[in-house]
Amino acid sequence: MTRHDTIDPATVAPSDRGDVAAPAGNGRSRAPAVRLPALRALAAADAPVPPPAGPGSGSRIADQTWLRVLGGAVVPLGLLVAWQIISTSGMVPTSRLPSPEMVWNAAVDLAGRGLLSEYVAISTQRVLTGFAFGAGIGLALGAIVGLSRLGDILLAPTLGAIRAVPSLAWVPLLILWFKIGEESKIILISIGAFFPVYTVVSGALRHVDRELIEASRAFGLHGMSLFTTVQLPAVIPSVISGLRLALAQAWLFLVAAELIAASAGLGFLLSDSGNNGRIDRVFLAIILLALLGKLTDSILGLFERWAIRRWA
Amino acid sequence: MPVLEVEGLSKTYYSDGRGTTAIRRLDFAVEEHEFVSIVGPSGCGKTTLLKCVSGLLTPSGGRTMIRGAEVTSPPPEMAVVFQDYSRSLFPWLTVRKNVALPLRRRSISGKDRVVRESLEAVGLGKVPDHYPWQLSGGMQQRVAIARALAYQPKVLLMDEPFASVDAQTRAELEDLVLSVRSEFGVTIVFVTHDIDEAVYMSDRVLVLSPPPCEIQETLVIDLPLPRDQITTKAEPAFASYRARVYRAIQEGPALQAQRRAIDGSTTGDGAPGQPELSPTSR
Repeated sequence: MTRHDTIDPATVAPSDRGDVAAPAGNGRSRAPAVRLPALRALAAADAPVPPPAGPGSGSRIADQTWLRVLGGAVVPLGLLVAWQIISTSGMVPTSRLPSPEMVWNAAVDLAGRGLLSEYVAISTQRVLTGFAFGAGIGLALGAIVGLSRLGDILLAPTLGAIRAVPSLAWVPLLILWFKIGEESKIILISIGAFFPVYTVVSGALRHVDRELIEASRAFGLHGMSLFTTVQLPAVIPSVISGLRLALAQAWLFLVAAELIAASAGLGFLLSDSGNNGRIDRVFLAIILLALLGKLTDSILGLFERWAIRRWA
Repeated sequence: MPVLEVEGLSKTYYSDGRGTTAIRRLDFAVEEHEFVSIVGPSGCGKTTLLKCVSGLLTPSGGRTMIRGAEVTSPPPEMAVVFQDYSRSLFPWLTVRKNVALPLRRRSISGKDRVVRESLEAVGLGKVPDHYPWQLSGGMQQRVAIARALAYQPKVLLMDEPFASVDAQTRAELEDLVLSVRSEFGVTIVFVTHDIDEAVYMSDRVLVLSPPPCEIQETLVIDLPLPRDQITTKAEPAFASYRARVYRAIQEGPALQAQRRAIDGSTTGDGAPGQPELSPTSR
């Protein structure tokens, strides 16, 4: 952990890292607005007689989303109020529990020095890169093991053994091989993201109803056409829950990687502030991790809704 | 020339180093536009037979020919309706898309029209945008039938298609299949364990023996067309056909034991190297 790396990501990165995060955020707010009327129009056009009672009409989904957002905000707001009351009452010294205002000021202070956006950007970038690699390889190997008997026989035992290695055990090896650079962190995050996806995808593909496969084969589907029209849609829901697990794992491993060896990022902020007794910054880092984790998970949730409508 | 020919078809399953012969040297042929039922005691290998005929299973011996061409994988001239509709329809697709899915890779014109007409033929013209799980069992099986019809097969194979619906629905679906058959002129091979159903619907009934199954008796059903649930079933001829099929199934084990005794005393059973479990009598 040397000083000079703090500088180089700051000078090069923030602009384009900011760009990476921005469209994802926009997409999140834009998506439901476009989707719902489209769905409603579709339902209206295609159902002349009684509309299908199932995955229902647009307005009800909208109501539920509204309720969900409001309902989901109740507990965090309650916690915030409780936090404020406890810290102003002086029950707990601020060296143990900083007030919300102190945390906010810490955020403003870091933001003013350009560090907040840098840390958020670099952590998000590491998570997304590691997640993309890990989940991608997990999907591919999961498909091979789940679909091919030979792949299962050849690969499953080895991957099972590698999965049995506690992922943090890779850290010393990764540091020896790749030093304390970006590679070692991204590889560690990839390992974290790989296994949930691999495990869920191979299992789900192996257990697609054999009768359904047989019925599809009877109608001439085989190989790639069988995979894309039957096996893939049948496993989409489990694939996505695997992806969500993997994303959570990716954040977990990000913090692990950054706690151990980093000079920027939220994990670094945590360990650095912990060492310097800056409890306000520790709180800030934890809150940011919660927000970012929830945000990326919500984006994946939107992808899930889209994918299920598209294939399943 | 028969549209479907089955020649010396055998299927032996191997597990734990022992073989179980499900089907032994079956021969039969089905003429164009014919309705042939295959009945037999439960567990006699009817479903195995149908899977071998449709190319879903590779037979251990013999072959199936459709219009003179050997079946090695599921041919486009055949469609199958399975017993378990809930596991043969795609739950994530609407009724219309379920019916259209097998057509995706086919080069036929007016696919939308074909799908619509098939759905109308089975009385489901009004629910194309429902999902299968929103429909009753009988309606789901109609979707499966519509899907098979839309595929425009030469031969429609049906594997106990009405075994999981109630009696009322069953009678309706029997008549539906008969009307569809006369409308589309499709050849049907119909596997069932229900003797009444076999006699009521068929031109010809093949009775299978207990496993390893062979064709024990062939019965031509000479009842007038169109069939009717009340009048056809009230005919004396219907009762006598029914009795003959029933008797044939009852006599199955005894006949088979006789045949086995003769086989055993003269030669081996002609399938050297194929170990065989002695059939458990049912």
